[in-house]
Amino acid sequence: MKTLFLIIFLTFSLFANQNDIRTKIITTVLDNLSLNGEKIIFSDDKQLLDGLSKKYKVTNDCLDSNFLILNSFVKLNKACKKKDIFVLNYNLLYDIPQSFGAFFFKKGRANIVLLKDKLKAQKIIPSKQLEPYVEDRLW
Amino acid sequence: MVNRQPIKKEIILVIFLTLLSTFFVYVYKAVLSSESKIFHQIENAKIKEYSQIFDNFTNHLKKNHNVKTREDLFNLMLNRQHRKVCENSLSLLNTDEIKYIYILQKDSKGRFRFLLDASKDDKAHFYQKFDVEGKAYEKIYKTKKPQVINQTDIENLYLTYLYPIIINNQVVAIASVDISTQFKKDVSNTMAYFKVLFKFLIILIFLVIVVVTVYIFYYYFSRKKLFTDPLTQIFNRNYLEEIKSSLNLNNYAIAMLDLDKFKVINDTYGHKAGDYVLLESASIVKKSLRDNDIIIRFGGEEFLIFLYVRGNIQSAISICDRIRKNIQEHQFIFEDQEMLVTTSIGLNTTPFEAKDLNDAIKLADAKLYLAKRNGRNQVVASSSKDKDVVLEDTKTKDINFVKKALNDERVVCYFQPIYDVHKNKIIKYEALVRIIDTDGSIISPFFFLPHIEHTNIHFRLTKEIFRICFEKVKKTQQPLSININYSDLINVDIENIIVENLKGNKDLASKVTFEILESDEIDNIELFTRKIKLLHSLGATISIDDFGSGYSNFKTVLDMEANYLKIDGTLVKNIDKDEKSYKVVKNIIQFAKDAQMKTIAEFVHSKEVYNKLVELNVDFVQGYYICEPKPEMFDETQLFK
Repeated sequence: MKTLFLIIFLTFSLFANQNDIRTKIITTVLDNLSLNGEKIIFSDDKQLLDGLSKKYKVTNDCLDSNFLILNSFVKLNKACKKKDIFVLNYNLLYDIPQSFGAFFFKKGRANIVLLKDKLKAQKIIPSKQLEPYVEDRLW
Repeated sequence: MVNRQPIKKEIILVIFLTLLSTFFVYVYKAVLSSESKIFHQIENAKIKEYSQIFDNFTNHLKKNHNVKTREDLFNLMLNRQHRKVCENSLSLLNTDEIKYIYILQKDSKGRFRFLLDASKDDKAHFYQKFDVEGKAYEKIYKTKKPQVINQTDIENLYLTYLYPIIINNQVVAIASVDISTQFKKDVSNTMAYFKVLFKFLIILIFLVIVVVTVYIFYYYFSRKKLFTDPLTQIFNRNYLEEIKSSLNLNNYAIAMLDLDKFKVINDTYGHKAGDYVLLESASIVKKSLRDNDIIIRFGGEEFLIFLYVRGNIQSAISICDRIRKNIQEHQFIFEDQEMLVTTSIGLNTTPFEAKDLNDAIKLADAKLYLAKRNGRNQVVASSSKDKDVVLEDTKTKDINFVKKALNDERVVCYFQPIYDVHKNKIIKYEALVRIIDTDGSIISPFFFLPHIEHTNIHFRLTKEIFRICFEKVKKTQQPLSININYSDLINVDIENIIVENLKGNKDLASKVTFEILESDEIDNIELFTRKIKLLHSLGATISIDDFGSGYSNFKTVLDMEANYLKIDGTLVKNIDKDEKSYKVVKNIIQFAKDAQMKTIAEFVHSKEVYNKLVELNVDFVQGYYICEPKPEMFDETQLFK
């Protein structure tokens, strides 16, 4: 946990732009999540998608992807709803019931939440580093 | 040349500016320090205020809700209604300066969770995990004391204040306040007025420094102009006035330097040549001096020199003689014309004994007069005797002294016999002016004549001498020589007196000899010759005085048709020792005989000189060896005593 915190705080110090920080942290989170097959990412946040494209395969069509990162509540194609969804707002965990985790800023601090039962259901395995962020339930 | 006073001023100025700069830096630091101190005081006051509120909140939990453990607190907050009430009570703290206010509790896994969030924005859900980490969060549980985190990495947050909610000596939760950067802005705004005031003062000081610096530069620039002679680029008399009060006469000897026959150079070669000679001479003098010496252009061709010798008289004399030699040996060539320039220097070796600087300069001037009178191109230094005699005399012997003496009828004539070496008898007397001082002492003309040259007082004095002399001749019937210079001769009033007395009085005229100074600069030969002819026509005789010291050519001398030729004393006095002088005198005597003029040798001060003159067949002699000047005429029995 401390290592990830260190990354989070270092990136805070090194990057003034919050978007860059966000991209950096999400990249770290993605690195520490193991899925079935290669991650093909779709996001409604174009800026984030551009940032992630440097390391991951990205797509503008959610149907072509297997990992969705959503910034807002969007009307998704039925087929997309079954895919792994990571959100960028804590409240979206409520709004999008199939979302398994979130990254967001709470009171200026970077926060990560991963929901245990959703991870299990979607066969997503977080690394040991992400364990401190795994929650039994959504509060 | 070292200007002592301005250096002192410059040092004071540098010290002043340094102090001002130090003050400037001090004020600037004080502003920063004050801002920081005031800021921390406000910060501490705020923290104290929050502590007080959280303390009340803790007591409220204990008393009203009977909270005894962390579980009790969790259960209390689990109730939405209770949570709302508590949020409302804490939200009273919400101001512009507080960004977030919330209560955190550590769960069994050591994660911090929101029990309550009274923030206006970005509210958290109950028991939502909050990823915070830092030593302060661990320390507060250990020390049970409030912690302050200075936020540098979180946007819009300035400081986080953590307050432990302690129940039964256990930290059951943490009350947290995130203070916005707005707080800092508010404090800075409060301080802004002071900062503006300080900035204004600093700018004002800076402007004053700039103005003072500009003024000083301007002052020094104009000062240099004011104190510098434009031709020679040395100091002028204004500078003398400036340093007068601060000059320590104990350290200096004062020399008065005058270029010999400068008027002749101007008249012969033109003013441009004169300027060239002045410029070159000033440069030579400057090069002959040291840094501590001061040179001032005192008048036309007069230079005043302050020699920094600190009582070393010999050193002062050596420097003056070096200057004299350097000028004499320098080749003055202007437009292919070579000019021989010499200088006379009067030196006051003990100016500190004078009443003031003016008196000290007067003594140097008197010595310069002596140097001129003794034949020029020489240095005459004051001696210990001068301190008693000359210094005393020069004190008051200015134009007013002569004016007062004329008014009080204290101008008299002394008479020195002119002796015929062949007939062994007095042939006539020379009238020599004296002034009887108010204390009865007799004042020699060399103390007062230089001060009245070319003034009306000089003409008044000449008229008075003529009156005394004509009366004396009428009374004694003894022949008398009267000195007259060129400027007297061409003066209409003096001419009228001569004409009034001598016209129609052949007897008186035949007993009067006018001794005309050959060394005088004659700017109008034609006018001069006309006046000489007038004297001849009246029946008076003419004698050329100081022959051998001036610039007159033989033609002018012959045109004067003088009856006597008086050989310059500086040539005569060394005739027994100096072969050159002997030869010159011999030739003058021969020339005079050829021109049918009788010769008179003055300054005959010893038997040796007298014998030499007899050997050279001079006609008449005059001097202290024969007899000193006396207030009355006398016969041969009084001679050679």
